Amino acid sequence: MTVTHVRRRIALVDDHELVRAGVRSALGERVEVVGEAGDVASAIALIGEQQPEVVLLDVHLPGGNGPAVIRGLPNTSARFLALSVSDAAEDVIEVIRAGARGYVTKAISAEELLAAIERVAAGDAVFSPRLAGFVLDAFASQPVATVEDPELEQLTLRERDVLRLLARGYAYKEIASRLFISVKTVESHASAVLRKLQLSNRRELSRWAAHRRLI
Amino acid sequence: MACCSSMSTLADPTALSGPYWQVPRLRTDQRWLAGVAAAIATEIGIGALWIRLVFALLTLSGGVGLAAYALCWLWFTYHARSQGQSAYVPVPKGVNPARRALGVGLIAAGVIALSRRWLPSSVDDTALWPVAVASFGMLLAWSSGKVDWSAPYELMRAAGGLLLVAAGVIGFIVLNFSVGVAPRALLIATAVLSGVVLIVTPWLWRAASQVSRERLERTRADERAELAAHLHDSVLQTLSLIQRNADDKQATIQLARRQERELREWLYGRSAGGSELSLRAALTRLGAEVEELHGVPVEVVVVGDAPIDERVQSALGAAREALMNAARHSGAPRVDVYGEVEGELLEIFVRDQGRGFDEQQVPEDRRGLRESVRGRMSRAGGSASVSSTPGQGCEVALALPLRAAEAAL
Repeated sequence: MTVTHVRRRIALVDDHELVRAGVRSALGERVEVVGEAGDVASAIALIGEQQPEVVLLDVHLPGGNGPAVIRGLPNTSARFLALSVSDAAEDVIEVIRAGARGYVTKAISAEELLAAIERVAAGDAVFSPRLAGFVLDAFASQPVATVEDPELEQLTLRERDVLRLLARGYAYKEIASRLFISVKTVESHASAVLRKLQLSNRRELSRWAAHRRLI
Repeated sequence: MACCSSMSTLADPTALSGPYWQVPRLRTDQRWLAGVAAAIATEIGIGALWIRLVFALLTLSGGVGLAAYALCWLWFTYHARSQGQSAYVPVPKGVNPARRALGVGLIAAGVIALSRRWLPSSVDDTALWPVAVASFGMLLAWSSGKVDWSAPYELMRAAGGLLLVAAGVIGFIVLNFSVGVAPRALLIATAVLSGVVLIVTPWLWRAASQVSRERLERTRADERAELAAHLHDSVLQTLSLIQRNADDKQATIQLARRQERELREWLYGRSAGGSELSLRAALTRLGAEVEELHGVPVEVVVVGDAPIDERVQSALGAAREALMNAARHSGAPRVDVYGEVEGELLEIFVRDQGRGFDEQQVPEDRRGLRESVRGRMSRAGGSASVSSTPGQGCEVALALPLRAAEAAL
């Protein structure tokens, strides 16, 4: 990963003004905040007008939640990074399925958040340990036998290895050296996982969600 | 003193703010049928037997008693429901019970005499049983306290009651007029009924929707009250603690994180899965506990779940040792815990990115901890490995094969 000194143009979408102010001050001058929005409609208007590079998107929003913002902007070049305190796996998976490139919790440090913004801007995926756990859980509970297209619906062993290391708290670089692959390969595995999640059978995932609620 | 004065005001009917005469409440505790007679008796202040006698006499004189009983029953029920939970306290009437009983008897005699006069004498035999059947049907149809029309039993009861009412009405017509009149009378009755239904339905509909709306609002209010109670016990307490500890950065962060965890567990705990006795819940709690003890953020991620038995408990104990160790000695800003149950294998990883150490130069106290981690795991039939490089943190990996029966759970 190369450290760029370009100030990324970002938008903050969160219904809590305090959170937006906190994120803004934590990121400081190293990014250019082109605007803030507190609900779905104004977020869509803002992103459509400003076309930021990265949108920091809250999972829960008045007027339809994070996925509604992403779906309301089918043609934008902006990339979305979910930033939330939400612990509900279904909600997190839903925003990723809608097209977000990653999920980090609000407890993240400013340095980590900047790195994540950089990564998302470059088109890569950002997995916090928690997101990796959610994704592993989602794919683990799918029965192998009923899957129609195994290439699409199942994680490869390598992808699973990468996810497990992410869940254990390893960074991409550490994963690369542990698995004797390049960082680029780790990144492509992570992106592949996101793609599979977005394309995977809705029915299977909703069954997973239902199962989780039942436990 | 105070008690005596309050008692005397209770005994004095004029001192009470409530109305002198109230609509009685059904006395289901003293009932023979629905408790109507006992309710009236309670309100008037005489023995229930008198009222029952009056109802019986009225019933024998042309079924008036039954109809009156049913009407009173409906009236009292409806009134009690519209009043809600407010208490019904009968006001002492301050009149001699014997004179009250005499009054009731005189009124009953008057009603009987009037009914004898107004109703044709032939009505006595022919009207009594149809009216009785119809009244019973009405009671049957309306006696359900709930309005749960989706239950088949309730529907059957309502339908049966309505059938009895119809039978009573037809019987009344057939018995009191000639059979030939019956179709025409039925036609007229149907027409009148349809008109009534047309008039009443929109009103009933509106009333019903208002009732359900009110119930919804009440439910919401209850939920809000529960939420407020919880927030008061948790979040507000923590916020005041934070204000008091504002100078101590570490304590403030610790308080905030602990509160965040607790609130999250409360908000999402039920949907995130994991009963009290599951690995998922136990690891999450373990992370919170260590975080609280040492002020180091602990990120816990769990995939899959397993019930906790003695062996899993040992693995949790080992994980706790490793976690405490990392929080105490590594100097890392964060510790990651990852638990996974896949098939019949339970794995727990505790990782820090702290100062790490050289296997060869482990200080005595840490060697001891490692032995306790390894010892626990091997006793439980599992294994533990510790890998660390100076400057690059440390990871403790625990593995425990679960029995096939447990893995199936």
